[in-house]
Amino acid sequence: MPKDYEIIRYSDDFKQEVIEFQKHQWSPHAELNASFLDWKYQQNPYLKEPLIYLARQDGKIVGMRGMVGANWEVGTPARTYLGVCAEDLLIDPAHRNRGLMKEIMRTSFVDLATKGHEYIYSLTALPVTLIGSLAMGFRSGGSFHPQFLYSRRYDWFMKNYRTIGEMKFFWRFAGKIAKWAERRETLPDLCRSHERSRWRRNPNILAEMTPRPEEMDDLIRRIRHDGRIRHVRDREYFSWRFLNPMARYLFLYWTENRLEGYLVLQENITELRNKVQVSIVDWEGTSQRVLSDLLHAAIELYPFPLLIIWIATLGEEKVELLRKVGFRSGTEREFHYPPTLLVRAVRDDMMDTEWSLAGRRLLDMADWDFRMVYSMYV
Amino acid sequence: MSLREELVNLLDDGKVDPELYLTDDTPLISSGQIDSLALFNLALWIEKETNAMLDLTTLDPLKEWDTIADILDFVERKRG
Repeated sequence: MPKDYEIIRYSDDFKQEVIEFQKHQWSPHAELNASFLDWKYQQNPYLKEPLIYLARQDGKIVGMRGMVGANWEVGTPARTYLGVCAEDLLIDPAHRNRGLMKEIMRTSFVDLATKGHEYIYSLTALPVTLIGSLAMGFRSGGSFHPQFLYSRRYDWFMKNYRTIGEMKFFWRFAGKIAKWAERRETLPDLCRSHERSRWRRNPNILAEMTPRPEEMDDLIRRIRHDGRIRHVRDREYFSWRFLNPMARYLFLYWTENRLEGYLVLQENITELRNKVQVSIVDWEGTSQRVLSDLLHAAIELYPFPLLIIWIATLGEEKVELLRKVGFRSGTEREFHYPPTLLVRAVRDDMMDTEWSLAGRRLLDMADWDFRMVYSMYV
Repeated sequence: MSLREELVNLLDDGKVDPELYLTDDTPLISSGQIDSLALFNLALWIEKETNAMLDLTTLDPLKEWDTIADILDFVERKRG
């Protein structure tokens, strides 16, 4: 243990301090951070109490790691498991490179093992955390293969921004050009204009700002589950997941007597996250026609500067639809390491065994059914 | 500057204990001497030296990069 540090479990006594501490990572706004902490850890339907580990020195928080619960289902018929995902790693800049991440994680592994957890997952690791996690015994199951659709304006800007910054006259306007390229309407504005439009191409498609948990739950039950590992997306999940105060969501519903499909768009609202990007975090439909209609409705809403989706486990038919409308793989300009599935056995004595749930291998992407909505950081 | 000297300079910048003298066998990761940012910088350095992206699905930094000797051996193998 590095000198003078203690690792403790979160309790409400630390709420205000965590809210302030996370101004480095969540948002600079205390009120928003308070809502986020409350939603993500207190209201999480799958864990009775927040699983947050804090490193303290001289009575001050200098490091944090949170664990968020979710139900995973696997197999046919499906069996349900409670899983925990490692989130919100933050070490105070003045306390980095002192082995704190390692100590926080060691403490969390011991605690999770005593609670009966076998595995811990990470779906959100940014490059720095990613390599650090591998050094802590996490293993990579592979990339989520993000695919990108750019507006022509934003694509041009991304290809030329370095040149613009170096040009004699134009560098003065680089900031304005960036704003022009990144400009977009917000999802609430797009939702209103979609519903006002008399020229909507498809009368089956509705845009709303709120989820329909019961109908979405019913739809998921009607679509066959192939047994791969996935989140249990039921009424409880849908009711909680989209209350995330750090993001806004737009729901496109394809209805005919009942819900036949939905597509969920997400935008980030805090300065510390990518506000240009809009993500397709979930997309389901009872037929190719429904899926195709929803996708076209999403891209016709607005020429989003940057629209993202993960395709690693989507299946060839959906991937083909995405390719047809212009989605393509990212390059190093988007990220050095793509978002990656990380898994670790909680107990050290399981490190050399094969990691699996109900016979499905946790390090084989073919055994997973991932959606961006599973990740809290997209 | 030799490859080893370059590596030692990089690790000196990121190690926990500035007084620690790094030998070829000093445990770096298992001892907690280098943290996530230093590890990330090490990963970038290795990619530069091997002129190849790391394969994260097979990478085990604790086994393959725990000492200077391990890291130099890893680079040599990847250059192979």
